[in-house]
Amino acid sequence: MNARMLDDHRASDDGAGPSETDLAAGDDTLMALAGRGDERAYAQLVDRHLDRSLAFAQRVLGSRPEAEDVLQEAFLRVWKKAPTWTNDGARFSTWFYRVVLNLCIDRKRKPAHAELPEDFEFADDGPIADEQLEESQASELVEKALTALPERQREAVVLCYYQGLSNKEAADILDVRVKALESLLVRARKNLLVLLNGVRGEVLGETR
Amino acid sequence: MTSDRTRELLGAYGADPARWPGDETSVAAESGELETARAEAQRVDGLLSLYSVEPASGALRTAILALPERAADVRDVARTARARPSRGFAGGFLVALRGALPQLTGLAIASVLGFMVGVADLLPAHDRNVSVDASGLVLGEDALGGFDS
Repeated sequence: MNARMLDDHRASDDGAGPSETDLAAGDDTLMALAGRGDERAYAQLVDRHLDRSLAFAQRVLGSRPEAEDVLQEAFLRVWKKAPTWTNDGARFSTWFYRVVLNLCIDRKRKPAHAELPEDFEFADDGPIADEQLEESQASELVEKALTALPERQREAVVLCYYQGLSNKEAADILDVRVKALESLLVRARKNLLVLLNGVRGEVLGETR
Repeated sequence: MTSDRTRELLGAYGADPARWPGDETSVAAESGELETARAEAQRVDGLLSLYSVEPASGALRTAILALPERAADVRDVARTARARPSRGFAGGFLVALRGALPQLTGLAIASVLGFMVGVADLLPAHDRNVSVDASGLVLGEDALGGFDS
């Protein structure tokens, strides 16, 4: 923990708003401050990570309401964890993504989800839609295709493509080796191509 | 970088070398044999880019920011419950007794009625008319009027 930043923060408590130091504080510093009951530091963590983690949860779960529930639980865990937070070599964001992912997995296990095996590949048996698609419909269709992927394949794509994490960080979160992550990604992208075969031309403005 | 590795990267991370692992972005093979793999990767990238997600609503952000306060409320309730002095055995017995008060009252009334009926049966025969009259008074014959006997 950076003692100077804590001192700066204590000094800023006398002022009306957050100091520049606060705004530039790293996640570890904010966690340490939140651990002392500083709700402004917690609010900064929320502002910094809410949108991205919500998008992550929504893409993993395929459901906005469930993703919102998960995020509330995840940030409650952030607040509870803050007093004992230690950076054991892992970044806060890695730990937080893992929390969100585990909550998503727990939630998906509750209803009877018939998950496909990790090495599953769809057979290319023709287009799934022929009509001209609006943008929102296309988004929905991609969402459905992602949801149809086996769980680990979907998580790999969401972490690497949408969240833009490095392969090492995504592999850490999924608790697999980088090679295994790449294998998941290759199968996921092949499956997506098959699932969305019928719409890709229209949506992407390609000639078929 | 070999063609095989480039094909693997295209298949895993897509057509944009900026998305490839940091130490493998410098060389992007331009071999013609990879064009198919590259075009396929571009299609998947294009499809994935169509899936957009709305940012968090103000209501969700407000709810999440209020979590520390709610957690503190829950903690206070738990602390109050823990701080409440123990009632001990006698206190616990009294609380249990208070909970069973309606059932005990019913039992007492039934016992009194049973006792009275029993006493009426023990009286000599010439007094039975009196006892019948008495049970009628206790039960209230008017109250039985509504039932078929």
